[in-house]
Amino acid sequence: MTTEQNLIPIGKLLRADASSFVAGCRVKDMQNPKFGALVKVALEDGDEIFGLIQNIVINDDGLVRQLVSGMSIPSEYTEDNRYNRNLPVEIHVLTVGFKHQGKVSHQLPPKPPMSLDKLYYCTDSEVVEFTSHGRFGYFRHILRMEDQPVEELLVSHLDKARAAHGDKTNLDWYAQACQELIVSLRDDYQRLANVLNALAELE
Amino acid sequence: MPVNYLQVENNLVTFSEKTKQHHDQLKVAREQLTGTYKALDGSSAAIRTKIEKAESVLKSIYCAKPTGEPLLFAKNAPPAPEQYTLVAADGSQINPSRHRSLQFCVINVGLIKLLKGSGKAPEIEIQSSLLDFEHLYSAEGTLVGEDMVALFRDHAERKAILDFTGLDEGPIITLTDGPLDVYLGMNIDQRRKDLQEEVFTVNRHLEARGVISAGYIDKPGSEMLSRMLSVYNTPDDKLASYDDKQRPIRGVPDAELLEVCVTQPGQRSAVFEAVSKNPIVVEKRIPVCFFYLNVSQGEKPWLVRVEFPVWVSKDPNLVDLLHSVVYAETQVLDTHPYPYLLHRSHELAVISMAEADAVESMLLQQLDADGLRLGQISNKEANKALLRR
Repeated sequence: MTTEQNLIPIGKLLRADASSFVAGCRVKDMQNPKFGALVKVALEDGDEIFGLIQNIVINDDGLVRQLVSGMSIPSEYTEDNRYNRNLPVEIHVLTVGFKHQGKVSHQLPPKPPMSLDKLYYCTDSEVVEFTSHGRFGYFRHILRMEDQPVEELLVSHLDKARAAHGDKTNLDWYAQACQELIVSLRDDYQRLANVLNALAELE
Repeated sequence: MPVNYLQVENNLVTFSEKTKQHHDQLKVAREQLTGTYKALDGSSAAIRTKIEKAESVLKSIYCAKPTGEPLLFAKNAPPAPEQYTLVAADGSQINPSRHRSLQFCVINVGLIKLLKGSGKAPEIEIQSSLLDFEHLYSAEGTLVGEDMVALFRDHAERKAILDFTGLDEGPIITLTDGPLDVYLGMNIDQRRKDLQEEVFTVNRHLEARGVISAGYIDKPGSEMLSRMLSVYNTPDDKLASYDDKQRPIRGVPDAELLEVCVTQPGQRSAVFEAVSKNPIVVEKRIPVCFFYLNVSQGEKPWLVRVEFPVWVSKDPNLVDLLHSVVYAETQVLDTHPYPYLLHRSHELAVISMAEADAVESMLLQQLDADGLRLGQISNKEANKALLRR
């Protein structure tokens, strides 16, 4: 998917650590962030940090809580809360790699991005470049996650990445990715079964 | 430093006993006043005549005056129209302080406009202005006080409303928090009079365009009805020497008195005119009417005061419109009924400490660029700031 959307930031960094970061956007921009999408933060030195959107959190405040408990909310006031009020949507991103001097790595970056750095969607060619590098090393970051819907994240990511690869030439990429997952999860039958069940829904 | 709770605790029992005594006294007073009020239900015209007579002979009077509806009148909220424009405005300010590095004042006005029935998000705007340097000091050369800044703020608020409602059509209602007329304080100088006149002109423009301006007073404590009854019960020959300090029944707010008749959610009271006359003559003041509105959910009445210009009271349809729209607006935040748009305008207007500091930095940078090495906070403020960290 290479569109103008890839050139427009979908959020700005709120906070980060070595293995994940959180960006914020306004509720009115909610149509932009999508669970499982590969995103990147372009650093000032030219490096890029890649991540997968692992969670999207919609925040509330006292006014929203009061409105929720009300009998009926005029549609104009629903719009007011979505479009005018300063309630950021939090985009939680799992760091899966970086690019330094044009070279992709599936290791964690030497330093996390900084607050207010801009978050962008990766273009199809960037998705292909990142996911084709090496032998799916970035899967380990996903499989290490706890208390998260890992299977859903994998399926969502593979679906989007397969679409990106489909426009290119590497039609075997998806099969190789599935094979790699089977190997990685061979000692965790329950999780493997969950992943394969979830992947079956893509067919 | 923390509160010395032990010392406070020593006074709790006494405080509670005195509060109970006061409460019991007020209960008796309320029953007395309610009895008088009920007995005069059909005497609106006679009360009106008496108040007008008092107005003519007294230099100072502040009370209610019936407009025609019986005292115990109560009316259910009519259904709100499907389409109307509602504008709310609220102001906030950074008061000038000699303890800051620099003396300055910023007035912020938050505006929000609902086009009811459009389905669109309300339009919002924030107008911020740095008070002109020459307005920072009084004629005596002292920094202006909070009263004067409040007048500047109210003035900015009204002017902003006039601009913000410029191109709208159809029924237009504006809401501000607090009494409709601006507060002038007790020491009225020329500058205050000028501002008051400008506000008056704004109100005239709004009236000419048919815009209904309303002031919303939550938890009102005024005793205008109590004063009205006191004046009415004063013999004619003693009216000229009426002294409100001698009023026998005190401490019963109008909102409590009217709970006997405005019992149901959405009901409003009779419309009254606010009589406000003091020795300092200010000719151009907006004549104001008001009604009390029960915004509760039905358990216990919660009465608020809604003020509006007298010209609105002449048209029952406009009073109905205001009644229905304000009530509908309070029910959006129904656990703590208060007009949604008014809350939002406050949210837009409020200036945080960090923002005040940022404005101060902007000013200091400008002065620095202009070669003026000004600005040192007081030692007192510097030490207070340490506590905040």
